[in-house]
Amino acid sequence: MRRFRLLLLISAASLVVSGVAYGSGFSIFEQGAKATAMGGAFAATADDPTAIFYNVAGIAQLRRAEVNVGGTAINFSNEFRGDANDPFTSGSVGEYRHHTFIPPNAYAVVPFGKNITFGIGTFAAYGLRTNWDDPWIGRFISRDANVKTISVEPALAWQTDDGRLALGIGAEYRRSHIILDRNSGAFNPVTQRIADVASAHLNSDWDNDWGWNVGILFKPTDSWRLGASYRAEMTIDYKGDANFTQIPTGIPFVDAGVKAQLPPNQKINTSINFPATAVGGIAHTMGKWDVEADVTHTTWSRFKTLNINFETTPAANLVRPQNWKDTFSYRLGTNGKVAEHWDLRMGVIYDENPQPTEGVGPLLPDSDREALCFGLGWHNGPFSVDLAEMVLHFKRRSTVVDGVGISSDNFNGTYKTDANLIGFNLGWKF
Amino acid sequence: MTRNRSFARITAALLFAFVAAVPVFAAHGTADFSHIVALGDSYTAGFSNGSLNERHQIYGPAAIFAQQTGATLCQPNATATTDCFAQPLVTWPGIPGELQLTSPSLTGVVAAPGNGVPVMTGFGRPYNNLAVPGAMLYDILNTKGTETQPVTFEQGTPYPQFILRGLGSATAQAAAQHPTFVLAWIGGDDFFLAATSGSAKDCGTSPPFVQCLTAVDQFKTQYAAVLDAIIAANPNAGFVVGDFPAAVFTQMPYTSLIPAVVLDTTLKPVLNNGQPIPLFGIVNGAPAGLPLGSTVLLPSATKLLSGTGIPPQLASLPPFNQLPNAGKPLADSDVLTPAEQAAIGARITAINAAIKDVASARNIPVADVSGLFTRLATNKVSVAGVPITTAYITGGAFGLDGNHLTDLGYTLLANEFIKATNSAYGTHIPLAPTSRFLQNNDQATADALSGNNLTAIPTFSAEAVKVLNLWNTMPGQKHFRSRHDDDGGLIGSGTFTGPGQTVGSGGKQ
Repeated sequence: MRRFRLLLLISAASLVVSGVAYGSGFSIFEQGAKATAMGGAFAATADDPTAIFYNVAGIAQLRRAEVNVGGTAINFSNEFRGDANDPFTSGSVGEYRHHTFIPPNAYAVVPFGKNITFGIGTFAAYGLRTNWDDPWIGRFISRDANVKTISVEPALAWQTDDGRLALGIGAEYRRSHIILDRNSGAFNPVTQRIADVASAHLNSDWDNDWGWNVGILFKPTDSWRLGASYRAEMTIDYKGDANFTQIPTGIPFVDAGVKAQLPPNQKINTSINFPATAVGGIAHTMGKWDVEADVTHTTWSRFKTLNINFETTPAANLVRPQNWKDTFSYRLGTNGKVAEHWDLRMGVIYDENPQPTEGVGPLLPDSDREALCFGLGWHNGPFSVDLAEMVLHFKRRSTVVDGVGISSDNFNGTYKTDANLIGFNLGWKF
Repeated sequence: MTRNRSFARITAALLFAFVAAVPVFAAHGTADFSHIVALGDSYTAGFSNGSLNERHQIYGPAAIFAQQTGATLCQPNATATTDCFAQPLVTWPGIPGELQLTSPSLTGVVAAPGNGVPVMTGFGRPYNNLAVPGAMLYDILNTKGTETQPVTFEQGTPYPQFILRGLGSATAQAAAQHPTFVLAWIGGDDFFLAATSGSAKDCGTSPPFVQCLTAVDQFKTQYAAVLDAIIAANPNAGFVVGDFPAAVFTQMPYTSLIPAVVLDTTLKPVLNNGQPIPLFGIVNGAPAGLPLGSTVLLPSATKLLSGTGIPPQLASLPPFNQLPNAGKPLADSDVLTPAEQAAIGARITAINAAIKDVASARNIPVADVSGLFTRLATNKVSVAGVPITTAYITGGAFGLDGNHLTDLGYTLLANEFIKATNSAYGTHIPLAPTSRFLQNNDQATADALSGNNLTAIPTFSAEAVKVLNLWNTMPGQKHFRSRHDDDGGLIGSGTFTGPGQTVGSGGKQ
């Protein structure tokens, strides 16, 4: 009784990430500057090596060996405002730490004979970074989430002699890596404040899976083109490490109490079900202008739950329902051959989000998006340069519905996100 | 003229539409927060860790409420004309010195040496926060701070003198400063002072009213009198009041932490043939074993250290025979028996009904404070993933005195008043965020950590040393420790079965 035990209320569960939520933003559809400038409406055009990503059948049109290398510089700005009726977030604000992400892409195609083209591409079709700037009151849910992927895809396409029909197939090898960071708090009985007492850092290995994709391109007349592409689902099983680092309060007996409850560093495993994507597009040429409209369907409903398994302390295992739904995005783009060597491009996008409102949180505050795109292409002899600019606006997303906060993290508020993307690609024809 | 008339009609129609579209809230007066006045007791004053001092007064429920409506709190140098919410600020360590946690034990709860000083006694108008620690309804109506013959517990304390300052009763000062909105969480000390002194005696109808239960009809009359006096002078003032947790005895460490039975080192009852062993106290005026379900009040834990409460039949057995007071009964005022708890609980329930009657007759909303305490007691509250409970020291809601709230607890309390106000008046006062108490977000904490407050903790205060020495020099202490474990608990003789039969308790609060 003399020294009664100090039960600091930190639970093992609170030391690990309680949910991963990826959105359409987790999928990155900007894998070539020409396509990006056209709002990603490119499945029925697919006339440069980036077709390996957009519609693999398209590379059959490329009858010279080509390389194309580029990237998309993505800048996000995000603002969180707490809900006045949420006793934790009321009056609080937060924003992302500034990062510029540049998912790279590179493609090469080599035609064989009259009908066949072989290609190989690398791109980052999925990725996420939500890294909140301190002091961030949501750090007990997520401070930093970082999902990286990189894919390598060998592809093969064949077209008829007249070029009216093309078929393609690709095999995608995708590697992915996840880092999740958050803090854990405890009531510090000396200061009578909630102190950050530990940080949890989950770091996966680079794990992988194989997938496949097919495409078809059909040109019924000289001015009409139809394209469709299907990229199959994948599941990546991750292994990794959970590291728990104590954050000292400077009060020895409090720190001793925390230390006694800190879970050991240990192996974890989890898996993510990546969606399948189906794209259908139709394009028409009117004089100097090509116009294309595409619809994309993504099977985000595969992301039903997130499980993180702790191999040493299974009691800390997490099963978090996500219950995402499939989404459509709608894309309209145009390419005008406005001058010798110069193309002018524009596009618009409407992209549905898959995330139920209760899941909107610091890990990923997704929302329906609208984008305006434009760009320029310059080509001269074997050289080509493509530039794209996309202004991406996320609709305000609030976790408050009819005056009631429904955040499953008990972290209610409104997220405003905007992004700017600059795509650039350099091409060389041999 | 025709045009004018149609204009008039349109205007009238629009006006009607506007009026019709405004939701009608059946609440007293208006929701104008330009001049808020608070009435109450120690809770409303922001009394925390056994002390009234400015470090916690600024986080008291009335101060939080006022701030959330947009008011600023008065600095000590504010004048009568400064537009701010004035409180009778007391410098740290407060009155009395604030309890601090110096080690993870009951004996580690030690008052900071010295006293603070009231710094706004010359403030040129009545305080907005007229809550006086210890104030019963009788005091809120009558006590002016100039009394020489105390007729209540409160009047024996220093608080009325520097809070009310002879300017009139709290009710009179509230009415006279023409509040636009009144937060009145009053009447708690009409049962609370009895409960925390181990008593359930009735106050009766004539003074003195010291640590007793006010009769329900008297409570109701006085409660209505406070509100009506303010309403009479300020018919348009808005109001919010609050109820009380009737299950407070299971929800407050002060009254629930220590069961009146022989305990082991983990605070679990030692069992004899499957039954707990009652401590020895006063029952119906005579020394006897305390009925099961009795609790020892937190400050009386220190008596257990010296063996007080050990039943006489055990007093001669080792190790109890080495405790100087083994076999002596606990005083009546050390203990709440189940009968006392039931009587007080029933009184609180009746008081809550009275409050609802009085309030609803005046269209005044009642904050659901009892609901908050229930949520705390059932692990329904968390901050940043950390459960906030009614547990002593570590729970986060109650301060080190075991019966008043922490800054965090007061914020939760303030939010109940905000919710009740918003609901009744259709206002949108934002809730006060508990995220303010994340240590790294809280400038006040950072200042305190770098200042002279907490750096003093590692070097124990004189009182702390005294209490710790008391324990360490107790006869047989080393022997017990060697036989038990490093928890240092006392081990009973072989008479009993149980996981380390132990008696005694931590130190004085």
